[in-house]
Amino acid sequence: MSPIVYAIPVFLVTIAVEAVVARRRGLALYDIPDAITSLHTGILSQVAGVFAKLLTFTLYVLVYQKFAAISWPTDNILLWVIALLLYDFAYYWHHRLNHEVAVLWAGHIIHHSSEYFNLSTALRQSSTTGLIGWIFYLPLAVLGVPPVMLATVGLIDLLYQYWVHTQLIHRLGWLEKVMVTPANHRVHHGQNDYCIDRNYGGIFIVWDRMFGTWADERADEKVVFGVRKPLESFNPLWANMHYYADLAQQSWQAKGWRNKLQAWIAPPGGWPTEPLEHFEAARFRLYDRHTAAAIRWYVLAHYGVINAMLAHFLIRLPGLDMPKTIGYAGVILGMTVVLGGLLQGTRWARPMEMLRLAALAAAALLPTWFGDAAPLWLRALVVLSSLASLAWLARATMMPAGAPAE
Amino acid sequence: MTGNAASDFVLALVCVWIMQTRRHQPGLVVAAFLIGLAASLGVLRFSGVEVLPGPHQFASALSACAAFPLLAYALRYPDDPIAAQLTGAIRFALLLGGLGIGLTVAAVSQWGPAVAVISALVIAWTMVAARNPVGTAGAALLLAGMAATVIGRAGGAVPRFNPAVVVLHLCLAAGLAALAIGSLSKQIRTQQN
Repeated sequence: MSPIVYAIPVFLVTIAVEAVVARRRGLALYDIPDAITSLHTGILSQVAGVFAKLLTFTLYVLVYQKFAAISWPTDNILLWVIALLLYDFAYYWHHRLNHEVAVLWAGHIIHHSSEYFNLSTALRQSSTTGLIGWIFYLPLAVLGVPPVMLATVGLIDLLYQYWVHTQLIHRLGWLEKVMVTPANHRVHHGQNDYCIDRNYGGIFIVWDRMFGTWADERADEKVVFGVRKPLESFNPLWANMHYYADLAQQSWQAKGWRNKLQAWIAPPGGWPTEPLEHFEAARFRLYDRHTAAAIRWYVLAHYGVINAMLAHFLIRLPGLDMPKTIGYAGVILGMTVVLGGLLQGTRWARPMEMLRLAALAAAALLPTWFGDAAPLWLRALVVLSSLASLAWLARATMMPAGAPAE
Repeated sequence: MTGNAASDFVLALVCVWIMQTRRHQPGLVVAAFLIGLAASLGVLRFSGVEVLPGPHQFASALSACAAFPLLAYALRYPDDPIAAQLTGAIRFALLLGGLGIGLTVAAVSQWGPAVAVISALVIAWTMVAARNPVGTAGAALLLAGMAATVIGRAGGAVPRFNPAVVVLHLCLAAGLAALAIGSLSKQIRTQQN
C-alpha cells in the first residue's frame, strides 16, 4: 500500500492546525478555494502517480539491472545516508531544470501557481512531472542504488519538503545555510525579482550555495507568491495542463521544425534576449472569484468524500485490474473538476454537481464499490448526504452579487 | 594496457582536445564530453576494473542516443541556441539521452545504434552539401567505425582485445578530430544562414 495513505491524515491535521493558528494571529494565510485546489491537485497527483510510477519505476529497475556497477547492500546505514545525499543532489538538478526547460516547467508550474503559501501548497503537486523526471535519477541506478533504496530516500526527500511550505516559521539560524527551511523556500516560491530561479534544494540548500542559485529571504521586501502569468482557475485538470496547452500552441504557430522544437526545450518564455521584466509588488492583486461562503464550505466538506475515495483507491489498488483502475481514477478526476467548477462559478458546474450527487447516491445502492461491500450505515449516510446536498444546491446562490463574470 | 583500452584512450584524448579547443562551440563540447566520458570509462573497464562494464555500457548508450544527434545538430545548425549555448546543448542531450536510454532498456534495444548511424548520415550530408572535404572524411570515418562494430558483432561480451572495438574507437577518434577541424569551415556557417 502507498505510504501516502498513512501520511494523508497527518497532512490534513497539520493544515487545519496551521489555518487555525494563522487565523488566531490575524494572518490571511489561507483561502479556501485556493487551498482546495491545492488539495485537489494533490489527489490527482497521487492518482496519476499510480500510472506514472508504474512506467518510471520500471525504467529505473531496468536500467539498474542492465547497467549497475554494483548492488549496494541495504543493511548499511552509511550507504542509506549516501543514497539520500545523491538523491537530493539529483533532485536539485531535476528541480532546477523543471524551472529552466519549458516542457519541464509545464509539469512543475502547477506547484507554483498558488498565490498563497501554506502547508496545502506543498500538496499542490503535478500529475505529469514524473513522466520525464525519472531521467535525472538514472545515474543512481548506474551507481548501484537499489530500487527499494531509491524509493525510500525519494519518499524521505518528498516528505521533508512538506513542512517548509509555511509562513508561520521564521528564520532558523545556522540551519538556513545548510538545510532547506521555510524561509529559504518562501524565496523559491516568490515572484519578486530576487526570488526568480532561486533555492531549488530538496533537503539540503548547500547545492544552491555550490551552484550559485541561493538567495536569502529579505526582511525589507515582502515575498509575493505565485507565477507572473497567473493561473486564475480552480480547475485541477486545467492547472495541470494549461502550460502544455500554451506550449502546444506556441509550437504549432512556430515556423520550421527547429522553432517548433525550441518551444519545448527553450527556457520558459524563450531564450532570453533581455533581462527579466521588473516585478511591481505593489500592483499585485490576489486572484479572487468571490465564491459564496456557503459554496466554499460545501466544497470543503465534499473534498472529505473525495479524500476518503483516494484512500480507498490506493488501498484497493493491488486488487484492481487496469480498466477498473482507470475507471476509479476517472471518477476521482471528474469529482475534483466539478468541485473546482463550483468554486470557479462556471455555468456547467451546478448541473454537473447535481448529476454527481445523484450518481453518488446511486453508487451507494450498488452491491459493492470497486470490490468492497460498504456497511449499511455508510451507504445510508452517503445517500442521505447526497440527497440533502442536492436539495441545498438547487436553492443555493453560487456567487454573491457583484462577483466577476466567468 | 590492452588494445581496447589503448584505442579508448586515444578517443578520450581527442575528446579532451575538442573540449579544450572548441569552447566557443558548446554543442561540440557537450557531445565530446559524453563520448569522452564513455571512452574514459572504457579505458578503465578494458584495463581490468571489474565494476565498470555497466557504467561503460550506459555511457556508451548515452553517447549513441544523445552525443551523436547533438553533434549532428551542432554541425548542421552551429548558430542555433542548442549548438551555441551550453545550457541549450545540455538540455538537448539530457532529454534525448534520457528518453533514448528509456527506449533502449524498455522496448527498442537497437535505438541507440540506429540514432548514431542516422546522426552520422546527417553529418555526412551536411559536410557533402557544404563541400567540406575534411568534414566529409570525418563523417565517413564515423560511419566506418559504426560499420566495423556491426561486422565484428561487438555488441555482446567484449574481450580485452576485439579488432572491431579497436577500429570503432580509432575511427571515432579520427572522425571526431576531422569534424572538429571541419566545423571551422566557413561553408557550414554560411549554409545554415
